[in-house]
Amino acid sequence: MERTLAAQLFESFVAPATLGRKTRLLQPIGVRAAKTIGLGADSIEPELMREASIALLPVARRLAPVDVLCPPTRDDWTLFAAWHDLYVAAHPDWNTPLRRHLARRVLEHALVSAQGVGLPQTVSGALARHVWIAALRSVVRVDQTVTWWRGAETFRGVDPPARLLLWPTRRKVDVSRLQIDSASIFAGSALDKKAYDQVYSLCLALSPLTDLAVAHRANPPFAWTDASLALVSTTAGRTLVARAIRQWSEPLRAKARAILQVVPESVPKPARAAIEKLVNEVDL
Amino acid sequence: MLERIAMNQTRLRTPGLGLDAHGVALGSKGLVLLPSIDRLVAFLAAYTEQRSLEDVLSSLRIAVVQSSLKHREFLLEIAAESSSRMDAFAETARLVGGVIFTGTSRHFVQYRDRGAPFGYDAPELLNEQATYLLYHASFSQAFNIEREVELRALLLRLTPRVDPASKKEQGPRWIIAERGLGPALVHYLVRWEVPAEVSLAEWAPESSFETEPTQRYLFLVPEVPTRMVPMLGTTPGLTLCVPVAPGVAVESGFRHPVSLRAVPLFDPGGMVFFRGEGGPLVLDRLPAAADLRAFARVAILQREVATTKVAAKSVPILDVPLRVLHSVGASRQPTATWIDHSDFPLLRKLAYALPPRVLQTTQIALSDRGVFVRSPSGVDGIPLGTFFYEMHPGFYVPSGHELVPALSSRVLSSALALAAGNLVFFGTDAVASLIAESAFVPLEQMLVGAPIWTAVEAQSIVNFLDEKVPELSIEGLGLFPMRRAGKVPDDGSVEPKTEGTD
Repeated sequence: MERTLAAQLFESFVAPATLGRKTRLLQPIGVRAAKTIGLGADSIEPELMREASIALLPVARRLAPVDVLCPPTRDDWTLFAAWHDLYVAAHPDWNTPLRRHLARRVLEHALVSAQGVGLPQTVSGALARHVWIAALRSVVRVDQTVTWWRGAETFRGVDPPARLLLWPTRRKVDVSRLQIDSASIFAGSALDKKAYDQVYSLCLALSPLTDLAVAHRANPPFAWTDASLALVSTTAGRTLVARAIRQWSEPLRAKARAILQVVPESVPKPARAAIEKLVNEVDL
Repeated sequence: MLERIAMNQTRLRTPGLGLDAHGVALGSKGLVLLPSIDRLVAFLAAYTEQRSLEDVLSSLRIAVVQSSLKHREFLLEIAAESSSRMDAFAETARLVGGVIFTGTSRHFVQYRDRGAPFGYDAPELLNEQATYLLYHASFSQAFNIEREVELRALLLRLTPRVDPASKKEQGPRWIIAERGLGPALVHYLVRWEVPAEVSLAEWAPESSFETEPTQRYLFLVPEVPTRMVPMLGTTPGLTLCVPVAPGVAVESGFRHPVSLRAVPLFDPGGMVFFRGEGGPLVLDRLPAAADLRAFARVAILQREVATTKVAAKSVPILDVPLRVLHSVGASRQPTATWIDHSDFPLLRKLAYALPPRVLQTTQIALSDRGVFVRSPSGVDGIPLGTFFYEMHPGFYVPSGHELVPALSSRVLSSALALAAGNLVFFGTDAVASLIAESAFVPLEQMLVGAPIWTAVEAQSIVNFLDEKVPELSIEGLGLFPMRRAGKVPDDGSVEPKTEGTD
């Protein structure tokens, strides 16, 4: 059963996210299954795993000259399950009076699953986790709003029924597509922004390189965590982060110093020095 | 024995020694003392490799000098006009193991070196009756001149060194031919239409037992064809020489030890030939030369041409059959070849080795009598079949043959009732083969048949490299969505842990 779940999760969610295809959500995985899902990773079709790894290699090579990526560890698998449950919690179908509490429960599952995930212990581990998590984070939901002569309706993540698109000229049918990024897909669901952002930030913080590589995000805003401070405290980790930040567009790089230098008072001096070094290394 | 001259020192003890504008001690002469003749030659060779001796030639004097202990050395004297000239001589002298001095009349002190940038002064002078009194940091010596050595005579006595690279140099050549070979060489060069001038030079008898002067033919060839160089360079009795300076030439394959261009001692009106073996040949004055064509063999009719007035009337056709005979004239470059069917497999094999230029310029026509190949630039690259040359435009005759009577192309076309656009190939039996010019196609088109190919579907690389955004597809949650997840465990607040400890 567990083995099947890992294969199902990889085939429907993880692999499509890395390959730029349509991802499909399963039913909520839950904390217990998330803890052991990595044990069933052997049942994944090797060809699909190889295809996904090759697709991720260019992402890794933008930061480091690697030829082979470390396969996902058991903690990575738990984190995949947490991201999955996070997206499932934002499913619009929960937004009914009888199911609204279930959305919050799924989000709690995601939170608890993520809390059980350990931080990467090596820079190469951080890089490997980054490429997978960056792919999961890049998932977008396409919302389509169909307007016609006597009404309008929004379809979140699904295609509108064909009947609504009939006789487009006579019925004055207009379809507008809007891409909702992963940080905002709670819109239209039963979740509130604060709860969603908390779990989203946690899932992101567990991949410190990803967290820093997208530190320019508007929502939820970047904040230094133990994981990100630990990463920039090492020379190799700081180099990877600096390379990731150098790939930002020019307007974003202009704001990078302001983003990175917001350091809480509790951060010790050595970590502050590491941040300063990072800022100098990026040559902001 | 010597004192180093200090900066701003003005008074010197050595007579004839002064200070130039740079403060360097300098006399009016410079002396290079060399221990042996081979060092002297090495000095001249090294110096002339970089600089010309033309400026110092008027003041240059070489002498064999002898010390009071009868020790002989070579002394080269020059006018020390400036310290820069002396510096150049000093560098070369040091290179070959010589010592350089400067002075004016008898007393010569060592010229400056790194140890004494302003030169040396001799505090104590020798009191000896000698031509040269030399003061060196390590010795003081008196020398008298034993005999003088003339530079030109020295250069003439030096035998050239073997230098195969000189054979590859382009440019005019002198050919010295012994008297017996001269006429044959004249006709050889005339036959191959090599432009040249020829003259007959005379040298005095080599011994008093000979009464007649030695005569040799001299050929000046502006450009010797490459194919003739080995023959001219190796035939006994012929000497191929490369002009190296006005009035001087060195045998091809050899090089004079001294760069003769830097020693303008030889009269441009005369000629000196340095031979690898046998000593130089010196001509004080070049003999009269004439164009080679003036010596070409001529044919004179045995009888005088009778001029008889005849009444003009219609001449009947004589009906003389055409013949293809061996030619006695120079053979012309073959521009076509006829290849028999039996040699066709060879042509196929040869096609793989033909260079692109030959493939592009060569045309080929297939016929029931064989394959006709022609190329305006020559068919030398296809050594197959019977070679033809184009006697007149459109008329091909086998190489080494000619068509008799020597009719013009107009008459031939008329006699053969030849239409325009046809080519005629005469065999050795005078049978003409007619082939349309349009039948010739480029050889490269005929070589390759339909190649085997496999269609390969090209994929757009742009789409492949595009980064696709993964899209989240929302499907229904089903009837019991929480079946697997259930409730969150009460002990769900799992402690943070490190990787791999799960």
